[in-house]
Amino acid sequence: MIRVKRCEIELKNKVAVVGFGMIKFGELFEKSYEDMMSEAYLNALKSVDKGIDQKEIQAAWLGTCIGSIIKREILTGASLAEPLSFVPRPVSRLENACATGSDSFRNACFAVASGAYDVALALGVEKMRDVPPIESLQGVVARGMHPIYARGMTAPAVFAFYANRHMHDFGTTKQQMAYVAVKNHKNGALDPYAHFQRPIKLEDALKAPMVCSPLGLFDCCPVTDGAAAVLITRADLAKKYTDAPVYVAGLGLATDTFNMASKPDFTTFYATVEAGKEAYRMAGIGPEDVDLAEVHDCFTITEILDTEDLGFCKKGEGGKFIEQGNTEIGGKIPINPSGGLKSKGHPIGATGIAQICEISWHLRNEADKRQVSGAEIGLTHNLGGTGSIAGVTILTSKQL
Amino acid sequence: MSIASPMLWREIPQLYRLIGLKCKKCGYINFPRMGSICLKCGSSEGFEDHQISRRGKVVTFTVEHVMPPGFEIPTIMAIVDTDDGARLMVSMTQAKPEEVKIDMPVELVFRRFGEADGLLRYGFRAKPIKESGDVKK
Amino acid sequence: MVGIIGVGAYVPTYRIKLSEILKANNFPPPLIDVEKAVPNLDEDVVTMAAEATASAIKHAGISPEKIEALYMGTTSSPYTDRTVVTTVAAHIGASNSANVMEFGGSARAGTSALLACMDLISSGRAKCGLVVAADSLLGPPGTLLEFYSGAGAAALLLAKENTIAEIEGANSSTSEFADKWRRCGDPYMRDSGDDRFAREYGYTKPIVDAVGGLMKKLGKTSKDYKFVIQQMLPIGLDPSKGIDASKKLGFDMPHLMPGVTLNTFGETGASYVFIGLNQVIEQAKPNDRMMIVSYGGGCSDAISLRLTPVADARKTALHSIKDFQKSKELLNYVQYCKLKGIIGTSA
Repeated sequence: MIRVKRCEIELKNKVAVVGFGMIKFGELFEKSYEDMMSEAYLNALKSVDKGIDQKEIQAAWLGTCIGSIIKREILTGASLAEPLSFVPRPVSRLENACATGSDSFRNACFAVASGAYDVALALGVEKMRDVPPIESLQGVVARGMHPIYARGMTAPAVFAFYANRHMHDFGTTKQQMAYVAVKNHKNGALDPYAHFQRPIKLEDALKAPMVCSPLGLFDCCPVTDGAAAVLITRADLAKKYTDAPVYVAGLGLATDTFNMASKPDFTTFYATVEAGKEAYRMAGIGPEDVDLAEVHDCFTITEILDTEDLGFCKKGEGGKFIEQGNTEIGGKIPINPSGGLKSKGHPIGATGIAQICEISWHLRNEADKRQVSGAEIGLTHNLGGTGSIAGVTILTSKQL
Repeated sequence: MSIASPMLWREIPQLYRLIGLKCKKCGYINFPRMGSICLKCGSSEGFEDHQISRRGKVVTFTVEHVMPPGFEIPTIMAIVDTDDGARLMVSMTQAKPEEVKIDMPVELVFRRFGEADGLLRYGFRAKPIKESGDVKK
Repeated sequence: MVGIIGVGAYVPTYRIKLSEILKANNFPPPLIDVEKAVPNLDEDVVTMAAEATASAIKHAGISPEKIEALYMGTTSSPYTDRTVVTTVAAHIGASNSANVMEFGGSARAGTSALLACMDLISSGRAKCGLVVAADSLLGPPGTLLEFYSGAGAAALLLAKENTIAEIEGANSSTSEFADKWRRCGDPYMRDSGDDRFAREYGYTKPIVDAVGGLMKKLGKTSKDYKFVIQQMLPIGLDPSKGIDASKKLGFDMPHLMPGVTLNTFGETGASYVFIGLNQVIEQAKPNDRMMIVSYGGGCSDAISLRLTPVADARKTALHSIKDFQKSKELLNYVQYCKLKGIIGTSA
């Protein structure tokens, strides 16, 4: 791929998050897209310590990935403005596969950092269960993609390709992948917002029916409805809203190809590596400085690769690193204390924003039973498409 | 999408003949078609038609057991590296799930890909090469 | 003289044994067990014709742009109204100025295409032409037609120079006779069930007329021919019953057997005689004469060929029919029914 000189953006300490709202994720048959969106929004407003008037919010970024397909409406900014009584303020609708949430946040941050807006809203929402589970992640890909080049492809198959090659090249085992599911369910059981709030046993994970070899049912995140919203302001205005703002220290976004056959190899998600590098550079830190991370574990293998690609351990050693307990809540680098996508769920557009909420709660000491002690620097990571797009955000409790 | 659509009609040399677009500057085989800029080097000097080899080996694969209605169960997907340095994603045909392995030799064969609006589609799939060597191309 | 410059064939991987079909239908086991070829769900006459054509092009060693005509014969095209030979042409990269034709009507569709193509080249209107035939057949469950209905494809490239076999001449015989048929939309071949009547008046008479007439025209007798590649009727369980026609012409089993694929691949319709030709060319020697005899619905085409020394030189590029036997896989009756669409599958 073409190597260009990166444009070195300096965003550190310019932007802060002051409102954090989420709804419980799950199969929310009784809640519509608008129901979920308004509930998350109101939760975000209520969470602002010193209060905020809705009218202070000047612009919004709406992140929804497969909205038009399931919601049967051409999604525009109005899809947020109308239900939230936000008319006539500007709303950008953003879609970047599973990195939609991270990218919505990123764009809102840039707008605030530029001085264009004082207060902005980044909201992610996804209604997935208005169709049978097989029709959303598998059907959307199998039916919607190219009828010959991609015939037979499903979303899990993308990651199954990586799993088989990673097992071949590095000896990663199904046991190690199952361990990720066990850890995340254990964490999710402590998270009131999670889709699944019950622990699972390793044997159940290993015995689960096969979906796409080598991924079984318990290696896959569920199909989930949900919404999450955050309020963003300039760092110098943050104290008006809270004495404990969460500062944005680094924002990274990177691309790779969508075409599976153009990937250089199947054991690294290069978009994650590049997005991570950018975020670390902007924040002036390295992986060793991160206190906790919410990473994209759409499948258990993905968390193993994310752990490696974000620099928390060496390439190829992710399985072992996780199996040794290093990423538990009390471990060396807690990963997915919320339960991750596996247990919390993955309403596509909402996930990235929900990760911001989770890290923020830890940085403000509000994460209750799953609190990582002494959390000061947190990282979120989203990965979308076929590893085609990755977003990494670094948040801090103090300005670096 | 049926073969009556302009999208599939544009892609006939790729879909029916496996013609890759070899970059005149760096030699990378771009496949499928995606505009006029080489993915690898960024050059817009142009491409020459390159007949991709029908023999290759499996780089990675997956056996899909859970599929939406209307799809083969199981469907086996594979990434294949051809002998002449192209890389493709294809479904496998006539392969037994327990036999599929990384580095397995395969042949790319011309097969039917279902139908839409009563019009049949065709393309390439990967078939395992048995030791008897039923590859003629 | 117009002749063949390359041959190719394609037979699907899967086979089912006659004994397996009989057992599933509660019939007694066969005296002689035979097999037939079964196409995979993703194969049809188009994909098989494409593979056979590519094989013939490789044997001939020519570039596809040189092919000025593509003539295809089949009775099992998936369309009644849409040209499929254009898909084959697109697959091999034929030029836009090539002329394509499709022939049908009966198992004689392959030789119809051949006669038209050889006339095209003899007349000088084209220098090089492709003849391809393919069929994928099915009979009603539990009938003789089911026992033998197979699938396959074969292709011949014709030109005037550097031929591996010269086409010395052709002769046809025609009559109105109903012995095997299939209406539009009917997946199954049907027959009258009257084997003896069909064999004597439908099959034997037109073949004797066509072949006898050809030998007379060319001033040859049965002694001049080493091989006879002849369409067989599904003649029941004893192959020797089908050779009345041949015996009347002075031929016998040694002439016929090298070209027989009814017991290995089944009734492959329009491609049958060309698959047999592929098989014979592999063992024939320069100057051997062979007679192609097609049959369908009361009509027969006879074509006389003589192998040239060029055939030996091209032998390494010829894809052996034996390879299709080496890589074959046997099916049970349930698997067979799924592939033939007799019972449903998830796809």
